Amino acid sequence: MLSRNGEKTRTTHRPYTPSLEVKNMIEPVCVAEIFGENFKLKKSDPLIRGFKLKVSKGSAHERTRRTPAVGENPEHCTTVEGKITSLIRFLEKLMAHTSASDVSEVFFTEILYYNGQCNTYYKVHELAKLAKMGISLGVTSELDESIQIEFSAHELKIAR
Amino acid sequence: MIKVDWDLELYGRDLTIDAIRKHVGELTIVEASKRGDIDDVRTQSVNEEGYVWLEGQPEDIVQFCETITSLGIRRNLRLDLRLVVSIYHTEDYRFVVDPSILRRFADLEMNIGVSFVDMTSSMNLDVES
Repeated sequence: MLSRNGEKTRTTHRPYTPSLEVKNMIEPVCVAEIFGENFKLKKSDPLIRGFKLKVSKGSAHERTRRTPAVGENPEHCTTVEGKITSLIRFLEKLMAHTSASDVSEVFFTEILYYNGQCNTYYKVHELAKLAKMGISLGVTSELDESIQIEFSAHELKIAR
Repeated sequence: MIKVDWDLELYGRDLTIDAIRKHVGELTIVEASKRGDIDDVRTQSVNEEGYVWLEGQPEDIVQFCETITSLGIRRNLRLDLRLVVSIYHTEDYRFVVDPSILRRFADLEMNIGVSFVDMTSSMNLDVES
């Protein structure tokens, strides 16, 4: 949290215990951009069955704020999105499958929705799983003006 | 201009800055208080545990954590380590952590906290007033 002069202050710099009540919060969305010229994933594919994930063709680099590599072909990309837990479990299943040999690169990004500030954290086991698969953790934010921040009575008392 | 701060907060009942000072290396000590310090003159509340706030680059933070873990300082002082990455001026920015760094934090049994803060937001100006 910032004070009026832009400096961080200890009292509110606690992402683990957010003191502000957030209304109409949109859940973060995790996006995996899976590249591979021969990699194909249909919505009916057994690999994706059982997961609440959305599959689409083409890259999502504008949403994930990723700078495309030179010569990157967006047509050779499959985008899978959903909640972080489901997406990591799916990627683990994919990496253990023979289809993994068709995958050249995976970009993993979580999109957080905010209006002023948002906080999240990544648990040890999530970090370990991504690291094991050799996948970087990417995080970006998207402004959503419909999110309302309400100060709790305790917070207002401190402010006074 | 995007600004990314990597902060490490340490909490421990008997933690003092002297217990870790020689291991901080390139990290900056932003704040430190020890058990028994008066935290707020108005309310006379007393810190019940030692606290140190360090800031620096991810490689230096992970190295520091590895050092205090391997030397047993973390276990002996029963330290609670909280890593927070704060990203200011958030427009069109993708924050990325390499799998090798993820592996090392996971080995240290540490979570990574991430905060996106828009400095122009009225919310972030009003809360401290």
